[in-house]
Amino acid sequence: MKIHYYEIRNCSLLYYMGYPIYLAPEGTDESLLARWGFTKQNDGKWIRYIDQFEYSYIMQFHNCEEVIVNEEALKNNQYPHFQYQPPLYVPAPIKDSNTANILCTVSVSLMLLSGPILFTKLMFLSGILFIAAIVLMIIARVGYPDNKFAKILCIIYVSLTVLLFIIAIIGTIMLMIACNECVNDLRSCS
Amino acid sequence: MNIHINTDYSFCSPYAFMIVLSCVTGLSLQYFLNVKRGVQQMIAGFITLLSPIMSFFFAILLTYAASGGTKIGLSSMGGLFGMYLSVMTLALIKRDPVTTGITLENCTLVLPIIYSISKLGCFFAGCCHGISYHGPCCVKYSGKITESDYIFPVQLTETIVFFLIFAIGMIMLIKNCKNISVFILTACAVAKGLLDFLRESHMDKTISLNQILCIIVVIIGIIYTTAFKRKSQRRSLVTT
Repeated sequence: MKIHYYEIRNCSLLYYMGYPIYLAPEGTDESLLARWGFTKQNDGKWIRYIDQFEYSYIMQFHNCEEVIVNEEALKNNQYPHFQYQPPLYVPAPIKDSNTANILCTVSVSLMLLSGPILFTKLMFLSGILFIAAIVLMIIARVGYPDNKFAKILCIIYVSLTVLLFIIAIIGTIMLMIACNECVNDLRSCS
Repeated sequence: MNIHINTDYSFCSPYAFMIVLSCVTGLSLQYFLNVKRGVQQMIAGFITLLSPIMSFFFAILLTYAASGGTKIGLSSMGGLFGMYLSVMTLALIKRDPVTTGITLENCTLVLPIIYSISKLGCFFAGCCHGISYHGPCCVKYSGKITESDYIFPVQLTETIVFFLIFAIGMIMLIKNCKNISVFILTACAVAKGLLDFLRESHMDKTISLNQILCIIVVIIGIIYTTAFKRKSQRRSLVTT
Protein backbone atom coordinates (compact mmCIF):
# COMPACT_ATOMS: atom_id res chain seq x y z
CA MET A 1 0.00 0.00 0.00
CA LYS A 2 1.31 3.45 -0.94
CA ILE A 3 0.31 6.38 1.22
CA HIS A 4 0.40 9.98 0.06
CA TYR A 5 0.87 11.85 3.31
CA TYR A 6 0.16 15.51 2.57
CA GLU A 7 3.03 16.57 0.28
CA ILE A 8 5.06 13.40 0.83
CA ARG A 9 4.18 11.00 -1.96
CA ASN A 10 4.54 7.19 -1.99
CA CYS A 11 5.18 6.55 1.69
CA SER A 12 5.10 2.97 2.93
CA LEU A 13 3.27 1.68 5.99
CA LEU A 14 5.57 -0.27 8.26
CA TYR A 15 5.69 -1.33 11.87
CA TYR A 16 8.48 -0.50 14.24
CA MET A 17 8.40 -2.21 17.64
CA GLY A 18 4.67 -2.69 17.27
CA TYR A 19 3.92 0.90 16.29
CA PRO A 20 2.84 1.84 12.77
CA ILE A 21 5.09 4.30 10.93
CA TYR A 22 5.26 6.06 7.58
CA LEU A 23 8.50 5.35 5.74
CA ALA A 24 9.34 8.10 3.27
CA PRO A 25 10.67 7.02 -0.14
CA GLU A 26 14.36 7.60 -0.75
CA GLY A 27 15.30 10.81 -2.50
CA THR A 28 12.48 12.90 -0.99
CA ASP A 29 13.44 16.47 -0.17
CA GLU A 30 14.72 16.41 3.43
CA SER A 31 13.51 19.89 4.32
CA LEU A 32 10.00 18.87 3.20
CA LEU A 33 10.20 15.70 5.31
CA ALA A 34 11.37 17.66 8.34
CA ARG A 35 8.51 20.11 7.84
CA TRP A 36 5.96 17.27 7.94
CA GLY A 37 7.37 15.82 11.14
CA PHE A 38 9.50 13.01 9.73
CA THR A 39 12.70 12.18 11.58
CA LYS A 40 15.91 10.83 10.14
CA GLN A 41 17.11 7.54 11.56
CA ASN A 42 20.67 6.38 11.96
CA ASP A 43 20.47 4.36 8.74
CA GLY A 44 19.40 7.47 6.77
CA LYS A 45 15.72 6.50 6.51
CA TRP A 46 13.02 9.08 7.29
CA ILE A 47 10.07 7.89 9.36
CA ARG A 48 7.02 9.35 11.08
CA TYR A 49 4.89 7.66 13.70
CA ILE A 50 1.22 7.21 12.83
CA ASP A 51 -1.29 8.09 15.54
CA GLN A 52 -4.45 6.10 16.26
CA PHE A 53 -6.61 8.56 14.33
CA GLU A 54 -4.59 8.37 11.12
CA TYR A 55 -4.15 4.63 11.51
CA SER A 56 -7.89 4.20 11.83
CA TYR A 57 -8.38 6.17 8.62
CA ILE A 58 -5.68 4.28 6.67
CA MET A 59 -6.99 0.89 7.76
CA GLN A 60 -10.38 1.65 6.24
CA PHE A 61 -8.61 1.41 2.89
CA HIS A 62 -6.27 -1.48 3.69
CA ASN A 63 -7.30 -3.27 0.51
CA CYS A 64 -6.53 -0.27 -1.69
CA GLU A 65 -3.21 0.27 -3.41
CA GLU A 66 -3.06 3.99 -2.66
CA VAL A 67 -4.37 6.06 0.24
CA ILE A 68 -4.34 9.84 0.48
CA VAL A 69 -3.86 11.24 3.96
CA ASN A 70 -4.46 14.94 4.32
CA GLU A 71 -6.53 17.33 6.40
CA GLU A 72 -9.57 17.07 4.16
CA ALA A 73 -9.51 13.28 4.12
CA LEU A 74 -9.09 12.97 7.86
CA LYS A 75 -11.92 15.42 8.50
CA ASN A 76 -14.59 12.82 7.67
CA ASN A 77 -12.90 9.97 9.46
CA GLN A 78 -14.94 7.99 11.95
CA TYR A 79 -12.87 7.35 15.02
CA PRO A 80 -11.99 4.65 15.95
CA HIS A 81 -12.76 2.00 13.39
CA PHE A 82 -9.42 0.34 13.63
CA GLN A 83 -6.89 0.56 16.39
CA TYR A 84 -3.46 -0.86 16.46
CA GLN A 85 -2.53 -2.79 19.54
CA PRO A 86 0.24 -0.94 21.31
CA PRO A 87 2.98 -3.30 22.38
CA LEU A 88 2.80 -4.36 25.96
CA TYR A 89 5.72 -2.97 27.80
CA VAL A 90 6.68 -4.34 31.15
CA PRO A 91 6.86 -1.33 33.45
CA ALA A 92 10.43 -0.41 34.18
CA PRO A 93 11.43 -1.86 37.52
CA ILE A 94 12.00 0.69 40.23
CA LYS A 95 15.73 0.81 40.47
CA ASP A 96 17.36 0.30 43.76
CA SER A 97 18.08 3.77 45.11
CA ASN A 98 20.57 2.26 47.53
CA THR A 99 22.96 1.57 44.65
CA ALA A 100 22.83 5.26 43.70
CA ASN A 101 23.58 6.24 47.29
CA ILE A 102 26.57 3.87 47.39
CA LEU A 103 27.87 5.31 44.09
CA CYS A 104 27.48 8.86 45.43
CA THR A 105 29.18 8.00 48.73
CA VAL A 106 32.17 6.46 46.91
CA SER A 107 32.23 9.52 44.63
CA VAL A 108 32.34 11.93 47.61
CA SER A 109 35.10 9.85 49.24
CA LEU A 110 37.21 9.95 46.07
CA MET A 111 36.63 13.69 45.70
CA LEU A 112 37.66 14.35 49.31
CA LEU A 113 40.73 12.14 48.87
CA SER A 114 41.80 13.93 45.68
CA GLY A 115 42.21 17.28 47.50
CA PRO A 116 45.09 16.48 49.90
CA ILE A 117 46.92 14.28 47.33
CA LEU A 118 47.15 17.24 44.92
CA PHE A 119 49.90 18.80 47.04
CA THR A 120 52.05 15.66 47.18
CA LYS A 121 54.24 13.96 44.59
CA LEU A 122 51.20 11.95 43.47
CA MET A 123 49.44 14.94 41.89
CA PHE A 124 48.38 12.97 38.81
CA LEU A 125 46.66 10.42 41.05
CA SER A 126 44.67 13.34 42.42
CA GLY A 127 43.48 14.12 38.88
CA ILE A 128 42.47 10.48 38.31
CA LEU A 129 40.51 10.45 41.60
CA PHE A 130 38.81 13.75 40.67
CA ILE A 131 37.76 12.35 37.26
CA ALA A 132 36.63 9.06 38.84
CA ALA A 133 34.49 10.97 41.36
CA ILE A 134 32.76 12.92 38.59
CA VAL A 135 32.24 9.79 36.45
CA LEU A 136 30.63 7.96 39.40
CA MET A 137 28.32 10.93 39.96
CA ILE A 138 27.36 10.85 36.25
CA ILE A 139 26.65 7.08 36.44
CA ALA A 140 24.39 7.68 39.45
CA ARG A 141 22.68 10.66 37.81
CA VAL A 142 22.04 8.90 34.46
CA GLY A 143 21.09 5.53 35.95
CA TYR A 144 18.97 6.88 38.80
CA PRO A 145 17.57 10.25 37.66
CA ASP A 146 15.26 10.60 40.68
CA ASN A 147 17.90 10.09 43.33
CA LYS A 148 18.24 13.28 45.40
CA PHE A 149 21.78 12.56 46.60
CA ALA A 150 22.93 12.30 42.98
CA LYS A 151 21.10 15.52 42.08
CA ILE A 152 22.70 17.49 44.93
CA LEU A 153 26.11 16.00 44.18
CA CYS A 154 25.73 16.98 40.51
CA ILE A 155 25.07 20.62 41.44
CA ILE A 156 28.02 20.65 43.87
CA TYR A 157 30.44 19.09 41.36
CA VAL A 158 29.39 21.40 38.51
CA SER A 159 29.84 24.44 40.79
CA LEU A 160 33.16 23.08 42.04
CA THR A 161 34.46 22.44 38.52
CA VAL A 162 33.45 25.92 37.33
CA LEU A 163 35.09 27.43 40.44
CA LEU A 164 38.29 25.41 39.91
CA PHE A 165 38.48 26.50 36.28
CA ILE A 166 38.02 30.16 37.21
CA ILE A 167 40.73 29.84 39.88
CA ALA A 168 43.03 28.04 37.41
CA ILE A 169 42.52 30.71 34.74
CA ILE A 170 43.05 33.61 37.16
CA GLY A 171 46.06 31.80 38.68
CA THR A 172 47.64 31.22 35.27
CA ILE A 173 47.10 34.84 34.22
CA MET A 174 48.55 36.10 37.53
CA LEU A 175 51.55 33.80 37.08
CA MET A 176 52.07 35.04 33.52
CA ILE A 177 51.85 38.66 34.64
CA ALA A 178 54.38 37.94 37.41
CA CYS A 179 56.75 36.20 34.97
CA ASN A 180 56.31 39.03 32.48
CA GLU A 181 57.21 41.64 35.08
CA CYS A 182 60.13 39.54 36.26
CA VAL A 183 61.52 39.33 32.71
CA ASN A 184 61.02 43.08 32.19
CA ASP A 185 62.81 43.83 35.48
CA LEU A 186 65.72 41.56 34.51
CA ARG A 187 66.03 43.41 31.23
CA SER A 188 66.16 46.76 32.96
CA CYS A 189 69.00 45.42 35.17
CA SER A 190 71.20 44.47 32.21
CA MET B 1 55.39 41.12 3.60
CA ASN B 2 57.14 40.38 6.87
CA ILE B 3 55.46 40.08 10.26
CA HIS B 4 57.08 41.47 13.37
CA ILE B 5 55.87 40.45 16.80
CA ASN B 6 57.21 41.90 20.01
CA THR B 7 56.54 39.40 22.79
CA ASP B 8 57.50 41.79 25.58
CA TYR B 9 53.89 42.45 26.47
CA SER B 10 53.43 45.18 29.04
CA PHE B 11 50.65 43.30 30.85
CA CYS B 12 50.52 39.62 29.95
CA SER B 13 50.96 37.37 26.90
CA PRO B 14 47.66 36.60 25.11
CA TYR B 15 48.49 32.87 25.24
CA ALA B 16 46.29 32.11 28.27
CA PHE B 17 43.38 34.14 26.85
CA MET B 18 43.54 32.25 23.56
CA ILE B 19 43.60 28.84 25.30
CA VAL B 20 40.56 29.84 27.38
CA LEU B 21 38.81 31.26 24.29
CA SER B 22 39.47 28.10 22.29
CA CYS B 23 38.04 25.91 25.07
CA VAL B 24 34.97 28.08 25.59
CA THR B 25 34.27 28.24 21.83
CA GLY B 26 34.79 24.51 21.30
CA LEU B 27 32.77 23.36 24.29
CA SER B 28 29.89 25.76 23.60
CA LEU B 29 29.77 24.64 19.99
CA GLN B 30 29.92 20.99 21.01
CA TYR B 31 27.02 21.45 23.46
CA PHE B 32 24.99 23.39 20.87
CA LEU B 33 25.55 20.74 18.17
CA ASN B 34 24.72 17.89 20.56
CA VAL B 35 21.45 19.47 21.69
CA LYS B 36 20.55 20.59 18.16
CA ARG B 37 21.07 17.05 16.86
CA GLY B 38 18.78 15.49 19.45
CA VAL B 39 21.14 14.40 22.21
CA GLN B 40 19.53 14.57 25.65
CA GLN B 41 20.38 17.88 27.34
CA MET B 42 21.67 16.13 30.46
CA ILE B 43 24.07 13.96 28.44
CA ALA B 44 25.23 16.97 26.41
CA GLY B 45 25.82 18.85 29.67
CA PHE B 46 27.84 16.01 31.19
CA ILE B 47 30.01 15.82 28.07
CA THR B 48 30.65 19.57 28.42
CA LEU B 49 31.51 19.05 32.09
CA LEU B 50 33.83 16.08 31.57
CA SER B 51 35.57 17.22 28.34
CA PRO B 52 37.64 20.13 29.73
CA ILE B 53 38.65 18.16 32.84
CA MET B 54 39.84 15.13 30.89
CA SER B 55 41.40 17.25 28.12
CA PHE B 56 43.50 19.33 30.53
CA PHE B 57 44.44 16.28 32.57
CA PHE B 58 45.68 14.27 29.60
CA ALA B 59 47.22 17.34 27.90
CA ILE B 60 49.40 17.91 30.99
CA LEU B 61 50.00 14.18 31.61
CA LEU B 62 51.31 13.56 28.07
CA THR B 63 53.79 16.47 28.25
CA TYR B 64 54.93 15.30 31.67
CA ALA B 65 55.32 11.67 30.56
CA ALA B 66 56.97 12.52 27.21
CA SER B 67 59.55 14.72 28.92
CA GLY B 68 60.36 12.06 31.49
CA GLY B 69 58.79 14.03 34.32
CA THR B 70 60.76 17.22 33.77
CA LYS B 71 58.26 19.48 31.99
CA ILE B 72 54.69 20.60 32.60
CA GLY B 73 52.75 21.95 29.62
CA LEU B 74 49.75 21.41 27.40
CA SER B 75 49.95 18.82 24.62
CA SER B 76 47.33 19.04 21.88
CA MET B 77 47.40 15.28 21.33
CA GLY B 78 46.77 14.68 25.02
CA GLY B 79 43.86 17.13 24.88
CA LEU B 80 42.44 15.30 21.88
CA PHE B 81 42.67 11.98 23.73
CA GLY B 82 40.89 13.53 26.73
CA MET B 83 38.07 14.89 24.58
CA TYR B 84 37.40 11.49 22.99
CA LEU B 85 37.72 9.69 26.30
CA SER B 86 35.06 11.94 27.85
CA VAL B 87 32.65 11.22 24.97
CA MET B 88 33.41 7.49 25.16
CA THR B 89 32.83 7.51 28.92
CA LEU B 90 29.36 8.98 28.42
CA ALA B 91 28.77 6.48 25.59
CA LEU B 92 29.58 3.59 27.93
CA ILE B 93 27.26 5.01 30.60
CA LYS B 94 24.38 5.79 28.22
CA ARG B 95 24.82 2.70 25.99
CA ASP B 96 22.89 4.20 23.08
CA PRO B 97 24.62 3.71 19.69
CA VAL B 98 22.75 6.61 18.04
CA THR B 99 23.79 9.09 20.77
CA THR B 100 27.34 7.72 20.69
CA GLY B 101 27.61 8.24 16.94
CA ILE B 102 26.30 11.81 17.10
CA THR B 103 28.42 12.86 20.09
CA LEU B 104 31.58 11.36 18.58
CA GLU B 105 30.95 13.16 15.30
CA ASN B 106 30.29 16.47 17.09
CA CYS B 107 33.46 16.04 19.14
CA THR B 108 35.44 15.48 15.94
CA LEU B 109 33.77 18.52 14.34
CA VAL B 110 34.85 20.97 17.06
CA LEU B 111 38.43 19.75 17.45
CA PRO B 112 39.85 21.78 14.50
CA ILE B 113 38.35 25.07 15.76
CA ILE B 114 39.75 24.50 19.28
CA TYR B 115 43.20 23.83 17.82
CA SER B 116 42.92 26.72 15.38
CA ILE B 117 42.23 29.31 18.09
CA SER B 118 44.76 27.87 20.54
CA LYS B 119 47.50 28.11 17.89
CA LEU B 120 46.85 31.84 17.63
CA GLY B 121 47.94 31.98 21.27
CA CYS B 122 51.20 30.22 20.36
CA PHE B 123 51.67 32.63 17.45
CA PHE B 124 51.39 35.71 19.66
CA ALA B 125 53.44 34.16 22.48
CA GLY B 126 56.21 32.98 20.12
CA CYS B 127 56.24 29.38 21.30
CA CYS B 128 56.17 26.24 19.05
CA HIS B 129 57.69 28.38 16.30
CA GLY B 130 58.87 27.40 12.83
CA ILE B 131 62.13 26.81 11.01
CA SER B 132 64.33 29.56 9.62
CA TYR B 133 62.64 31.14 6.58
CA HIS B 134 63.10 34.38 4.61
CA GLY B 135 60.20 34.14 2.15
CA PRO B 136 56.88 36.02 2.13
CA CYS B 137 55.03 36.36 5.47
CA CYS B 138 58.11 35.38 7.46
CA VAL B 139 57.94 36.26 11.15
CA LYS B 140 60.51 37.93 13.35
CA TYR B 141 60.06 37.78 17.08
CA SER B 142 61.65 40.41 19.23
CA GLY B 143 61.54 39.86 22.93
CA LYS B 144 63.68 38.91 25.84
CA ILE B 145 62.86 35.20 25.62
CA THR B 146 61.61 34.70 22.07
CA GLU B 147 64.14 36.75 20.08
CA SER B 148 64.66 35.04 16.73
CA ASP B 149 65.77 35.39 13.14
CA TYR B 150 63.14 35.38 10.37
CA ILE B 151 61.14 32.17 10.72
CA PHE B 152 58.25 30.36 9.09
CA PRO B 153 54.83 31.29 10.62
CA VAL B 154 53.91 27.66 11.27
CA GLN B 155 51.43 28.52 14.06
CA LEU B 156 49.53 30.96 11.82
CA THR B 157 49.51 28.39 9.01
CA GLU B 158 48.06 25.84 11.44
CA THR B 159 45.37 28.34 12.51
CA ILE B 160 44.31 28.91 8.90
CA VAL B 161 44.50 25.25 7.82
CA PHE B 162 42.55 23.97 10.82
CA PHE B 163 39.94 26.69 10.48
CA LEU B 164 39.44 25.62 6.86
CA ILE B 165 39.07 21.97 7.95
CA PHE B 166 36.48 23.08 10.52
CA ALA B 167 34.59 25.13 7.91
CA ILE B 168 34.56 22.22 5.44
CA GLY B 169 33.36 19.91 8.24
CA MET B 170 30.46 22.25 9.08
CA ILE B 171 29.49 22.53 5.40
CA MET B 172 29.55 18.71 5.17
CA LEU B 173 27.29 18.52 8.24
CA ILE B 174 24.82 21.03 6.83
CA LYS B 175 24.74 19.14 3.53
CA ASN B 176 24.22 15.81 5.38
CA CYS B 177 27.38 14.32 3.92
CA LYS B 178 28.65 10.97 5.15
CA ASN B 179 32.04 10.16 6.66
CA ILE B 180 32.51 13.63 8.20
CA SER B 181 34.51 12.21 11.12
CA VAL B 182 36.83 10.23 8.87
CA PHE B 183 37.44 13.29 6.69
CA ILE B 184 38.17 15.61 9.64
CA LEU B 185 40.36 13.11 11.50
CA THR B 186 42.38 12.30 8.40
CA ALA B 187 42.69 15.94 7.32
CA CYS B 188 43.71 17.08 10.82
CA ALA B 189 46.24 14.29 11.32
CA VAL B 190 47.78 14.80 7.85
CA ALA B 191 47.91 18.60 8.31
CA LYS B 192 49.43 18.38 11.78
CA GLY B 193 51.84 15.63 10.76
CA LEU B 194 53.10 17.56 7.73
CA LEU B 195 53.23 20.98 9.42
CA ASP B 196 55.28 19.45 12.21
CA PHE B 197 58.16 19.21 9.72
CA LEU B 198 58.19 23.02 9.61
CA ARG B 199 58.76 23.38 13.36
CA GLU B 200 62.15 24.23 14.76
CA SER B 201 61.78 21.52 17.42
CA HIS B 202 61.57 18.93 14.61
CA MET B 203 64.96 19.84 13.14
CA ASP B 204 66.96 17.19 15.02
CA LYS B 205 64.36 14.41 14.67
CA THR B 206 63.31 12.08 11.85
CA ILE B 207 59.80 11.70 13.22
CA SER B 208 58.32 13.41 16.26
CA LEU B 209 56.05 11.97 18.94
CA ASN B 210 53.21 14.13 17.57
CA GLN B 211 53.63 12.61 14.11
CA ILE B 212 53.58 9.06 15.52
CA LEU B 213 50.42 9.90 17.47
CA CYS B 214 48.86 11.44 14.32
CA ILE B 215 49.37 8.18 12.43
CA ILE B 216 47.86 6.21 15.34
CA VAL B 217 44.86 8.60 15.49
CA VAL B 218 44.12 8.11 11.79
CA ILE B 219 44.33 4.31 12.07
CA ILE B 220 42.15 4.15 15.21
CA GLY B 221 39.64 6.65 13.74
CA ILE B 222 39.20 4.72 10.53
CA ILE B 223 38.96 1.32 12.25
CA TYR B 224 36.44 2.61 14.82
CA THR B 225 34.29 4.42 12.25
CA THR B 226 34.16 1.36 10.01
CA ALA B 227 33.32 -0.93 12.93
CA PHE B 228 30.68 1.49 14.28
CA LYS B 229 29.06 1.84 10.86
CA ARG B 230 28.73 -1.92 10.48
CA LYS B 231 27.20 -2.17 13.96
CA SER B 232 24.71 0.61 13.15
CA GLN B 233 23.69 -1.07 9.92
CA ARG B 234 22.99 -4.29 11.81
CA ARG B 235 20.77 -2.38 14.21
CA SER B 236 18.79 -0.78 11.41
CA LEU B 237 15.68 0.63 13.01
CA VAL B 238 13.08 0.17 10.34
CA THR B 239 11.95 -3.40 9.94
CA THR B 240 9.00 -4.63 8.00
